[in-house]
Amino acid sequence: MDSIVVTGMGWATALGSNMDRVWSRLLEGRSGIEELPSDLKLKNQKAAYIADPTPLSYKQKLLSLTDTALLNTLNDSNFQDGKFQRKYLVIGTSLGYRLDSIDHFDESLDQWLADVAIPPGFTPILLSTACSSGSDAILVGQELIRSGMADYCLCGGSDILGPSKRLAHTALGTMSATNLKAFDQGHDGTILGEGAGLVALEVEGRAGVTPLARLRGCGSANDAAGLTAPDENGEGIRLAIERSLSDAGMRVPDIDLISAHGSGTFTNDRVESEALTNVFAQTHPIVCATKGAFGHTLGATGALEAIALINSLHKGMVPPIANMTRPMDLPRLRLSLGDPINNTISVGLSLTIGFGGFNTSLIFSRF
Amino acid sequence: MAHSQLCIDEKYLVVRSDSFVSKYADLDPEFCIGLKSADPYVFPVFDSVTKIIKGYRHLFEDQTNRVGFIMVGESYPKKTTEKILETLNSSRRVSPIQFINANAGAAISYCCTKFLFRGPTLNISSSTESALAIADLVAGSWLDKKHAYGVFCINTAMDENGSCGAYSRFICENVSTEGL
Repeated sequence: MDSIVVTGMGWATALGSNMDRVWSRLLEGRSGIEELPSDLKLKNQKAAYIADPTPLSYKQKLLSLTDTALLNTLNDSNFQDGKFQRKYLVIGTSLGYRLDSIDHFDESLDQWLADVAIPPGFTPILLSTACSSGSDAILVGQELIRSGMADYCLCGGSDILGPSKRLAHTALGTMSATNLKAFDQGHDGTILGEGAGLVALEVEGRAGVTPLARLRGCGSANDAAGLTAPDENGEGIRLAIERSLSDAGMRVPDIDLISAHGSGTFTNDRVESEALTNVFAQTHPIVCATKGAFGHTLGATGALEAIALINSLHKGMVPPIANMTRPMDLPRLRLSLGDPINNTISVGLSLTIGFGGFNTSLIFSRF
Repeated sequence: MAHSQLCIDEKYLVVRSDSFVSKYADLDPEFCIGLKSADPYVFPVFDSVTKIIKGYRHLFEDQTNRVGFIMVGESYPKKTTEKILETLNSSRRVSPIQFINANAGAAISYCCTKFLFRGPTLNISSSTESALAIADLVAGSWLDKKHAYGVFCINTAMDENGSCGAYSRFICENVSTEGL
């Protein structure tokens, strides 16, 4: 089977959109979470937002973030239009701008994506599996390339912050009263963010292109536990990881690094860390998480986590978990604390856990 | 309702069902508990899945961890979205129940939760030919890779008034039904 490689990446985050500069900030443990004053009755005014140079509607902002990630990814992958016949743009978003403006609520869900994809000649595919949307876009990209249905795929996620999401997470009790501190003893909830991230997938071998990583395997599983609650036994997480390992032809000891979901809520951190401990008890992988830096970007988070993981594989550095100062007692996992870890990482796994029970696991290896 | 069990080749068996149920009261009372707060777009999806499960229970025995779902089409929780926007504009609040039911993949979550299906799941919010082809591609791959023993492929449609329909196929490994 041909090897599927990542030949480019791009993101738009609360820490910026330049790949190297944002990566440096992640290694420094910096966070894009700041006060975003609002007259809404929120549990916390903080958010990882991306300031607009000019006022944009929610729809315009989603288009703008996606466009930024798309152009950066095309440049990074040395995209040559004439080389590819079947090009897809596969994007996941949780709710996009749909809950924030009466002007657009009855538009077809994929209309905005067609506006981004069709001008540069890509076939648009929109996914929505809550916080696993961005990861599932990469899973679909893998299937498209592997089958030969596509020869070049831009895959990832994009989502924006609006009043509905901030109010809803306040009402759901999932928003932190302090800050997002994934896997910290003082964790008390999540902080929302916005952003976009894309990876370029193609079959290995294009002349003049040095891939960043190989996409080895993908796996998905549902928790079957409800619309918000995860499976308390972490069964869905375990099944997603096992399916991705099987797809990659790998075993548990092959995984050196995990880019965790790490949303900072009591429930997520407990269930996720127990599930990871159960699967990786004998192998002690390094665990990192990006939400303390980028906020919880919902439909985009899977893509941002995957990009951070690929950077770790490519550059041999693992960023610390931002805002984590007193790690939870997890002796079987090596939480990335303090200075960045400088180490050769061969294989990494990126995990997302979404509302509605959508779990997705992606495995990448160093090129 | 017409449903049929078809053997498409020696490897896979397909069962089909469709539904245009638009009200909670029209759902099968044996299964509908827990769906009262669901958006109406969930009902035809749930109903078409329920008909297949009820008609072919033997196909699902001991397989719940390996039953997957792919939903593809233009349906989404339009009525719930409208309610959220009304409340947001009138009282600057959002109901958490409405918010979680506004998730475009909620219909899959209801089905998986009700029947304890833990197979792979995917929701494609598009009804283009490409989207339909990708749904079949991914379903076939999950079956070939043994990530799933069976996959519900559900095509949804919604008219301009928000009325929804669902056409479901359950594609699974071809098991012998002799003697059942």
